Amino acid sequence: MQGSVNQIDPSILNINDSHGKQVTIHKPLKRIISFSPAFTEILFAIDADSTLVGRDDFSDFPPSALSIPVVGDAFSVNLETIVELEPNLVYLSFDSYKHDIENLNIPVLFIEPSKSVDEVLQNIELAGDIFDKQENAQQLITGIKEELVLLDNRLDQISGSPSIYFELDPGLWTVGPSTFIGDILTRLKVTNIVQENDGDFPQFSNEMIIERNPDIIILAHSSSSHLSQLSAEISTRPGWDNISAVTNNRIYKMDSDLINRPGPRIKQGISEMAKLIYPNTYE
Amino acid sequence: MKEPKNTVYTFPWVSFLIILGIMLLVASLTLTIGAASIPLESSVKIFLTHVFAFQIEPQSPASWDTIVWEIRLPRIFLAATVGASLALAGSTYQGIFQNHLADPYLIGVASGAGFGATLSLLIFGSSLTLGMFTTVPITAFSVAILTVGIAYVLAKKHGGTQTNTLILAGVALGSLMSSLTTFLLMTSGKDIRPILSFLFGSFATANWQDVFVVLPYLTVGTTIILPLSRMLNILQLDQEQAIQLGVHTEKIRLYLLICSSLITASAVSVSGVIGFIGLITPHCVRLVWGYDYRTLLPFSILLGAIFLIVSDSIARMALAPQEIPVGVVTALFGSPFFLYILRKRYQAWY
Repeated sequence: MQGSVNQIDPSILNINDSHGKQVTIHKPLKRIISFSPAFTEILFAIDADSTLVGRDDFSDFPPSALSIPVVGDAFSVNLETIVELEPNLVYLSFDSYKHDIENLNIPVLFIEPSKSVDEVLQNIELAGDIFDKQENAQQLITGIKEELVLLDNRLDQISGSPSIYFELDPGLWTVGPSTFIGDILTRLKVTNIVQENDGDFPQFSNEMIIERNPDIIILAHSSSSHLSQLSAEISTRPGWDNISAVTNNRIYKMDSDLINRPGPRIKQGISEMAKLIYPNTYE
Repeated sequence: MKEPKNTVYTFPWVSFLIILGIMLLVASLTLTIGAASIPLESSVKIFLTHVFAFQIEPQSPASWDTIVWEIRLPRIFLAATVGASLALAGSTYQGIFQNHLADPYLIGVASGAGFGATLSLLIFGSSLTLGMFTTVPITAFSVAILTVGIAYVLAKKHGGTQTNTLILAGVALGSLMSSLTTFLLMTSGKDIRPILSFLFGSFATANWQDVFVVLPYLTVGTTIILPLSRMLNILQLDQEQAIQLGVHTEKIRLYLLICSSLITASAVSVSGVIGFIGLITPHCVRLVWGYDYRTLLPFSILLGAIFLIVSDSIARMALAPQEIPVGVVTALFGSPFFLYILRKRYQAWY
């Protein structure tokens, strides 16, 4: 997914998409539609948001993104509005509508959501190349890297690795190690109770969670319920009163967008998670 | 039950032409509305430019041309052909099974297509193409037909098929397919959005290729089923009476079943699962024009087309620029309407 600049004509950028297909981008790009909340955030963070003419329904940050027309969501796409907006490029993080949009002679760049912090950094660099905002992109990348170095330094002193259950949804949906959140958990030196062979986004059972007995529970529900409400709900789940995290009252809540969305706000997401997990190291 | 043999039958041509006119009017009106605001005049000009292949006035932006000709028009065509297909298949199924609760999905076509589409999307993704078509309609169609075929073979006994056994076999296979689909959705760990969008049913990404998937089946199916509409009347009598009239009910049932299942499978394979239309359209026709299949089938085709064109316009306009799955619209507006006419007219019969 790294872009390579054409040697002869610097206004042409060749990018390999997630299917391995080469997409040629003719700069400058004036009108882009983003079907990725993370990419939308990156555009705003590197000051390329003036090019954004359309977005998907989930691209809701920063708040100024909300004034940009919505052209679809996860389950539907409004081709009419897309054509009417006359974009030079549609950025997709899933390939559902790729074929349909390309059929209308609109260039599509399909890049799967980043599965690691490194991929986020690559994606920011790519956005910098696409919009000729290389300096802003580098600044953003440096900021995130500094946060990671700081994290490593602090966690160096810590021995042991607390086990963690990361809950996406009250239906006991959680995340595996080979996901974006899984990568962050590894960087935070915690042991995910979900193992590699459990899958990427498995639904666990009460039994399994009780058996694996996490030291820490992090709730990243999309609802806006208060932590006190959520903790109360969790202690009523059958058998959960024996889980170490519940007896030691180590249940925390995270804004799911900070940790779920592989965009610029991971810097904040990682530092907030670190503070929750290691309250003594992070005063 | 009416006894068509004893009454002199005349096809209600006047009503038919009026309904046909309404269909064309609705289709033209919906061509002018959409998320993009294009003036009526420009829409008409773009349409005429393409149909008569000469430039009338090239003033409108190129994007309007794409919107009218490559998005709206195929979408209206597809809604019309799918609506007509489902309504025709629905009335035929109701005739074959002598059951007014039958809909085109009764014996597993929809669940089969859903499972096929799911498999295809998980294995090949949504962008793999085979010739001019993506793989989704091809696998959806094949698995749908396979499901009905298995149900038929399972229900076949001593050279005859009990319709009740066929329904049971179809319903059971349908449940099996739906549960397999759910199982794949839960365990695949892949992006399931395109699958859900198929299962909801939508015309949001309709294009001319989709129309060419459905239209041949509808055309051939109609030319086979319509001449058999008198036979469908006879099938409504009990089997002994029918045999006395010299009708091989078993063979005719099979032909009709194959035709209507193929029509349904082709419709589902491009539009996803759109409920309710195949069930209620024939009932609406019966309420106004009576029970004779010679009237019921052609009128169902037209009304099904109108019903789905209107539903799809609501689907794309109600929350524009966002879309509602058209299956939600058909059920949301179709069921209260149906309950209303059921209360009003059917109490006389039941």
